[in-house]
Amino acid sequence: MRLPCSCCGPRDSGEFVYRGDATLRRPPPDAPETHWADYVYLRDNPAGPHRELWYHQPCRSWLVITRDTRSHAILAAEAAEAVARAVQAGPEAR
Amino acid sequence: MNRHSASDRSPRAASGRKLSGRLPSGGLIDRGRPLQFRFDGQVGTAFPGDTLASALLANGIRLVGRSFKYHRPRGILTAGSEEPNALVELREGARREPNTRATIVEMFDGLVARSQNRFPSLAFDLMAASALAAPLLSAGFYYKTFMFPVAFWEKLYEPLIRRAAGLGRAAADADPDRYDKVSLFCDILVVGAGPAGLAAALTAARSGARVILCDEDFRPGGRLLSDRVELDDHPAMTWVDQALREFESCDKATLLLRTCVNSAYDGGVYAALQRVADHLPVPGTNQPRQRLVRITATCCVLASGAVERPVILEGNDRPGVMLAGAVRSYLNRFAVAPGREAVVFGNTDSALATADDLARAGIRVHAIIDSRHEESLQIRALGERLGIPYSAGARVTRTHGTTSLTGVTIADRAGETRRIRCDLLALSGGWSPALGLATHQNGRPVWDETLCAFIPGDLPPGMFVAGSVTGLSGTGAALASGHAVGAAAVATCGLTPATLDMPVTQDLPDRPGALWHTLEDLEAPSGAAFVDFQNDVMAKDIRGATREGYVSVEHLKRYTTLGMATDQGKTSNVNGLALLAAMTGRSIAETGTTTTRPPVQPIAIGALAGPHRGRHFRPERLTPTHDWARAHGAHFTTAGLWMRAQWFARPSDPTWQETVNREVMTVRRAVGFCDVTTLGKIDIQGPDATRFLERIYCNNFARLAVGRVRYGLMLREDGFAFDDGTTARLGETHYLMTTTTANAAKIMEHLEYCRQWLFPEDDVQMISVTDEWAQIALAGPKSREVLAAIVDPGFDVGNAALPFMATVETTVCGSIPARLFRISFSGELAYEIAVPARHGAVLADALMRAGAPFSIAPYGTEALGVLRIEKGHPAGSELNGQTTAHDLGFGKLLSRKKDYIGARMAQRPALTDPGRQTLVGLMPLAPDAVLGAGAHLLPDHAAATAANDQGWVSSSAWSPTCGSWIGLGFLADGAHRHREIVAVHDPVRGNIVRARVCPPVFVDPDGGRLHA
Amino acid sequence: MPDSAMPPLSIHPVEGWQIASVAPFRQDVPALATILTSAGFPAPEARRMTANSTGRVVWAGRGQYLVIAPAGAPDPAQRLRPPCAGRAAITTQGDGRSAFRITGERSAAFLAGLSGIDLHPHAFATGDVASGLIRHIGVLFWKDRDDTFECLVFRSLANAFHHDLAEAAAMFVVD
Repeated sequence: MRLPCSCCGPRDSGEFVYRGDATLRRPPPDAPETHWADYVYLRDNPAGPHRELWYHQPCRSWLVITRDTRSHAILAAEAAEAVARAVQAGPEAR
Repeated sequence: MNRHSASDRSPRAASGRKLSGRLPSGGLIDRGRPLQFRFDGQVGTAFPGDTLASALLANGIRLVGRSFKYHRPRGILTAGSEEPNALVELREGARREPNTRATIVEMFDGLVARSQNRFPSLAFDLMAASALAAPLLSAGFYYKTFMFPVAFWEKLYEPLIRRAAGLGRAAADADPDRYDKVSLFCDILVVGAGPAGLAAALTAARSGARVILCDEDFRPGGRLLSDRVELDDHPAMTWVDQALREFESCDKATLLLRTCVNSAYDGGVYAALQRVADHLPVPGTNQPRQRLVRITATCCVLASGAVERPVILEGNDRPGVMLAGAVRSYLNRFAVAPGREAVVFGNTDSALATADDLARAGIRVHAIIDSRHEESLQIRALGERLGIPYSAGARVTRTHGTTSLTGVTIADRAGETRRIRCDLLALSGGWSPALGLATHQNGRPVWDETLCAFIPGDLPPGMFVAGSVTGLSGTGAALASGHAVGAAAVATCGLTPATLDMPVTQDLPDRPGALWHTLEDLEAPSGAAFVDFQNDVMAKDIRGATREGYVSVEHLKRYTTLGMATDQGKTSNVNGLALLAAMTGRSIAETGTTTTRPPVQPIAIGALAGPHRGRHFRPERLTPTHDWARAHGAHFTTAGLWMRAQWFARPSDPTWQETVNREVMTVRRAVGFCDVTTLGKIDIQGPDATRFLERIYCNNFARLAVGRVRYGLMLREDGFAFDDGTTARLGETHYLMTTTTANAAKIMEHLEYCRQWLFPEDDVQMISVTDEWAQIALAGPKSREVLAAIVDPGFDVGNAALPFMATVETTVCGSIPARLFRISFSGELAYEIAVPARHGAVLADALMRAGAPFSIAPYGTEALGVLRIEKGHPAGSELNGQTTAHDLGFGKLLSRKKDYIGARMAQRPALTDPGRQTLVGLMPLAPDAVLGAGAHLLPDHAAATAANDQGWVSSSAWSPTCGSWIGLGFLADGAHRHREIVAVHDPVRGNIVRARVCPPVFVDPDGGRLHA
Repeated sequence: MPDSAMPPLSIHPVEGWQIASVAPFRQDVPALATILTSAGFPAPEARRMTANSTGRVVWAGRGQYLVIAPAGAPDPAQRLRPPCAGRAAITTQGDGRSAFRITGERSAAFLAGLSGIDLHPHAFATGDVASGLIRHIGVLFWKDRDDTFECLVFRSLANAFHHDLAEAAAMFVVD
């Protein structure tokens, strides 16, 4: 599989580390424990487009990649930092 | 040769006199350079251009193996990589390779091969007696036999089955060859250099695209090598050679022969295996035997052709039964006659026209049997011209002979049977597109009723199909298809497609009729009608499976093992599921096919490993003092990728234990030093560095003064301990973090995750400096004296100037820049000295000289471990991902005043429950009783059951300081059980030791030595 | 097919480079450009190696650059520390990295084969930089000239890297 690093361009998947769901938001420290437990343990398992975090080891960039879990088609790729800043700046859609 | 010879020559059995099968002329072989080879000890002659299979046939050898289960005599069925029968053991010694298909072995001088799966010989195989047990060995027999009595399984059944089972013998020695791995890039990958592939590749090359053309054969041309085709009134090979010359003249075009594209991965990535040196006796100097090529291509044109099917009929596995296309290959490409008297049986004009090829070679053809109801005018005309009887609506129902074919029984349209003498049955049930690569990404093939074939369905992104893999037949059609598809691929790559003049040719029209089997009774299929030759699966096995309810094609496969052999059912899958469909009253489309997965052809494990084997399986990381340590007698161990000195043996040490004891006592009594460069070092700088660190560590760092070092513990977000280290504050906004050796890369990843994703507002930069600084720990009561001796004059390293947990920059050994950290892992007065890595050995030498008055000695990881266990410092065994700060005795470190990774979840009641297994020390009552790490802690005298399990030993060592084995471990409610005696159960090492629980520190519990 | 006239490939360690890492705070690359050019170095460019008579500035991923001065030149870390104060993170890297030079007509094909990165002249120009993996070793490399590549690996991996390159080159040249 080849994945697009926003910094380096398309590279072999062996250069990346997978983390998981990029739609989760770290709860505030005083949020109920159930929110924290969900954040740490609970995951959706969609058959279809999945927005997820990947780390490109050679350039140390974290990426948010939208991948179709059924076909491995890559639908979008963005620098995670840009996504994180946008989330901070605007109202959270979640 | 007179086709109507009246003489009644009977065909020779393979065990009798061997007739030369070589035809007097023709073939793509170099008759000027005869080669010698040996098969089962017999010497034979061959020529360059031969395969082992063609050479065997040329030398009159038709019996080449014994089948897997029933040890039936087998001959050569095909002329290609789909061969199920002719599996031989190639080469001898360390390069011996079992289950090699003789049909793809390229002949070389001195080739040695042996038949397999027979004892004592091919001709007389004792194991053929297993055929008598056939009723007991039907499909799924292992579910029903060898079960009782249960005790017999281990002692009798399994050993017997192991001896009888298996196919081929692997070499016992290490593989002496090298394997390479390489990546290639192109716009268009063309798979297959037959007419369609060549046309596509040439179109692409002319269009200026980067093209890679692969073919698994050693000569391009595909079916044009075997079929008598004329292009522009010349033999087809003239056009092939011309096309290739032009292709290779394009500098963006690459031809890879002997290269099978095996896998179609996601993202336009393909894996191919190039057999670089398998056609040579041994690889050349520095030449890899095989090369795994990973090709990234914008487009792929799959022109892999089609594979011919045999027909399921009684005795269809007899030597002498051969696919019609293979017969043409042997006749035309290799100039070999596979027999002397033939019958041709098939369902297409092209198959039946094999009679023409046979007749030209002087082989007597007794009959052309056409399974189709309607006669073919072309074939009738052919039969009349050659004087060969032609029957339509007829079928071959069985073969005759023992180790070789002697005749066939034919049933005509009316059902009348007659027997015909022959030693060769040219058989064809039609062609199955070789569409494996098209289905690697879950694309299901589609059944085409008219073509009687599965054709490609949904294709992976970027893949096109051309030629007979799409179901079409005929050279003209293939050429046109290749050009059109090549042009489409070129356009997809954003280039303008070039034109290609199509050579003129006459395609034989083909109307296939379904011909899966000629069995009389599907309810009770008779005798030896084989579906899968390699796994010995017969029609009656399929019937048996359906009777037992295995009617899904996936169940059928696994229950009968149809299609599961090394040929992966290339000549059996479609026939098998056609039979399944007929037996279960479904259409073939309804029955479907099984999933195919990479690789398309078997790959040696060595090719997958490539250069990563033995010592080079993973890259080795060497410390700055590696060579110095080696020169000083170090014995090394691996710590992740690193090579670290484990101990420094001296001639006076009887064993390593004495070495380690000496090193430990040297540190405790005087001074020693150890290279600790491998611990991760991360330089963190930025306006928000402090705030960022506070989020990472569970304990406070904001109030750490500049010039001070602090132990830091990081948690995971689930509240469990992640990693620890010491972090020094070098400036207001400048920190140097250390991590454990094992977690260095993971921590870097984690820090970047926090920085880029969780806290993008933090303005901070980090970079690894692990390799930049050689770091040496100097420990022991005399360490200050030694340090003072190497620090450049005037620099005060006294207790007040450089107190415990302080750091300072200075120079050593004559102005080498250095950082000093007063930290201790051993529990003794200690420092860590960091110098630029190039000076590591210089520093080590300087320490040896400066410490000589105190008998300083270097120490390795073993002594390092003993020292830290004596001091009770948790390390990797304690921070195993399942322990919390509380478990480790660090509960007080958890800050209540800030948010940090893991803060919330660490508060979960279950993680702070005092009854949890918490860190304790252990000392056996008998000092030399061994405490083994991994042993479990149970109450003294309690029964050895899981219910009584209260903890485990995480680290243990012989402590020369204590004169006893000591251990660290986790015990339920451990903090309140000091002085209690527990039983340490070690079932793996087979002992139980009674030990006393104590605080997890065995040396200097008050820490006086640290602050000295 | 073996060809005795195959152009050779040479692989050599490069000694003496003095290297510093710089990474601007507030991700202010223009500010970094000012710091570097004021000190006589070329301006930084993402995914590129820029060079002038003072030295080179090599992109090292995510807003981080390596400043390389040749042996005998003033130490870049010392030179840049004052102007970087409060504006950029700076560390010495000259001991932590080992440098290699790969030369030969087919050096691009060789390195592409190993790294899995497309180095065809149309895809990778002189001065382009890539950070990748070769035989599981992290490598930062750039095209210095038509037939020359230079690369940096962590010092601890230099031996392993050199061995892997040499072994691959031996098999490559025979092909």
